[in-house]
Amino acid sequence: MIELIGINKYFSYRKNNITALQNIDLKIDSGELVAITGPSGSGKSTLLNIIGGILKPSSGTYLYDGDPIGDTETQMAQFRNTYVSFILQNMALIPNRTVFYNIALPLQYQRIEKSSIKQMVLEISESLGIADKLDLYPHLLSGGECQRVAVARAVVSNPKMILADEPTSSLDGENKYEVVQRLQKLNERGITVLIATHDEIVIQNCNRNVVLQQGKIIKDDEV
Amino acid sequence: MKYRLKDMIFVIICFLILLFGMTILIRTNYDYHQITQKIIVFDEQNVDSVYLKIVDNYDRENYKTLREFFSEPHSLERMKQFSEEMHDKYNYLELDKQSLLVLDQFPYQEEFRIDYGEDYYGVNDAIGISLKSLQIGKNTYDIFGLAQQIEVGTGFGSEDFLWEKQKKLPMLLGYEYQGLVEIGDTFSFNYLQENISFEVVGFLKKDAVITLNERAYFMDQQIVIPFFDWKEQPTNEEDTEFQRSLYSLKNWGYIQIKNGEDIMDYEAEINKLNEQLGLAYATSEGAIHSYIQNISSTISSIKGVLFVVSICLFVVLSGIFLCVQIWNFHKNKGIYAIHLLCGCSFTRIKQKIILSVILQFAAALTGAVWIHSVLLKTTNRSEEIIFEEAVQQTILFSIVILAITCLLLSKCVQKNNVYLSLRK
Repeated sequence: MIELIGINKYFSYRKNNITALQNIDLKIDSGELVAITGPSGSGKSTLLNIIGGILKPSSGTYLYDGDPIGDTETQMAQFRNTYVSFILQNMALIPNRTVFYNIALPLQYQRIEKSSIKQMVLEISESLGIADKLDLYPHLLSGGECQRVAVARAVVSNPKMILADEPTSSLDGENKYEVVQRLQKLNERGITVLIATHDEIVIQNCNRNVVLQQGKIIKDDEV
Repeated sequence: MKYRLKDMIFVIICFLILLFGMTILIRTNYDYHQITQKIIVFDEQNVDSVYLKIVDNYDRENYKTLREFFSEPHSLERMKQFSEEMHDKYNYLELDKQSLLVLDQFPYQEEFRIDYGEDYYGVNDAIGISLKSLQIGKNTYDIFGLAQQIEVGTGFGSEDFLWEKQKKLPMLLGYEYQGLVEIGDTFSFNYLQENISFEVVGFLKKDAVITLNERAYFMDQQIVIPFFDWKEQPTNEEDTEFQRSLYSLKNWGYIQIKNGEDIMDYEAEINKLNEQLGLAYATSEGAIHSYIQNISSTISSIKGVLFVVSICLFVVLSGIFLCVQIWNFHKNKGIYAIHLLCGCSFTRIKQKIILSVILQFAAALTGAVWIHSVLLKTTNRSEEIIFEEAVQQTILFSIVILAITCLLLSKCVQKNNVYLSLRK
């Protein structure tokens, strides 16, 4: 279970402090499918990055399954390795690396043996229908294929939660629907899914909608 | 984050910079060695070696007089210490033409007196005659091989260069004395107001000579005596005066300069010794003065140029390499962000960036050294010392540049930068 208590986040910019999140209290149970919405600059991505262990909160407490995630670089990296996967708006694939390398990347940081990595990548890519693309470079793939590679990378390490930051914003209707379906399927497998989005279709398919405005939670409803 | 072939561009940039830097260093070192070589050639062609004369500045304008100096406490001890330091540190040669004076018991005074015309000099209120005499120190005796220039008799032993009150000293006589006096004859001469007995121990060969800084000291008509030390402290005013005169003379000696050594270094050392002991000694190049002055100023300006070039090079290299690395970081920060998302710690990313910079530098340095060693061999300018010096300097510069680059890069590689690229 994710539990944020009194979380604040400030960024320094030219000697000024910019407030990104203010006094956030939020509980998310395991297996929830949550949409985090709000206008641009409301703090959605910052909240996701704090939950994902990329950013440290300026103050407040973050507990995962009742324990603090730790505040050193190594502890945060270990937390990401064990529990979290990300799917980003532009799919964030390394352009000069093959599809195989991109999918296998999280497994490399988990120090899994090469033969197992190969097996795991093959299994996940077969299930997503991209097994024949493993030797290709991302620029040779279609938008939908890139999105499937990003999903494959997100699930290959069996994470406990997936954090998706605007995953559908650059996709057309069909691909958008496919992404939503995939995230729902992952959620049905018990993975907690948090999606920062503006997209009404995505919001309608989530169980809960947390609305942010100017760094504060102004609404937290079931959909 | 494996090293990609594309990253070779940074190795090439670094390699070209180092190659250029090393070429300048080799060139400047080459010029510097050419000049030094000229001094060595001068040595070999003109004199056996170059001898730097040590002189004192007492009684000169803006300096105290010798009398004033000797009125200071421990002045004699300081002079003696200077003499000791000269012998300990350098190949120090003592050679002087201080005359022996004779009153009336030397029967050959007319043949060997110094021709001052009709003038005579006073000794203890009496009139004496100056004889042609040369006093030489132990080093001078050994270096100019006087033992090999003796025709009859023996030479000087080590103990002959030490004196104590009433001790009889040996003397070697020039070739023209043969037949006039015998080995074993003893004469009393006046030396620095002190009457000292000398015994004839041998005769020098015909044309025996000492050549020092292009000046030849022919010894056929000379009385050669040891330039002795008197270690004991004086017990009366008369002995004190004698020792003062003796060490004033002994400290006007010569330092033998070996091939490739810099005269400026000796000057600096003498100045340091002056400061330590409160003395006023200086170096004087004498006959080679103008030549050495030219060479010295050339060497100084070359050293200056080398210094300026090195600093400029260092600044340019640091700037270029740092810009290239910062640009590279900004270009790749999106990829670093992906690694961060996939579970890599930021510390590890930072370590990998720094490690790749070090590897690039090492590869480039190896390449530059290899190219230069090949080029030097093919152009027959393979002067190992110059090459080794340039390599040492380049490595030194590289380490400094590398340290600065890594330091500034680690300041620049901040998590916020990577985070921002994640958002974009």
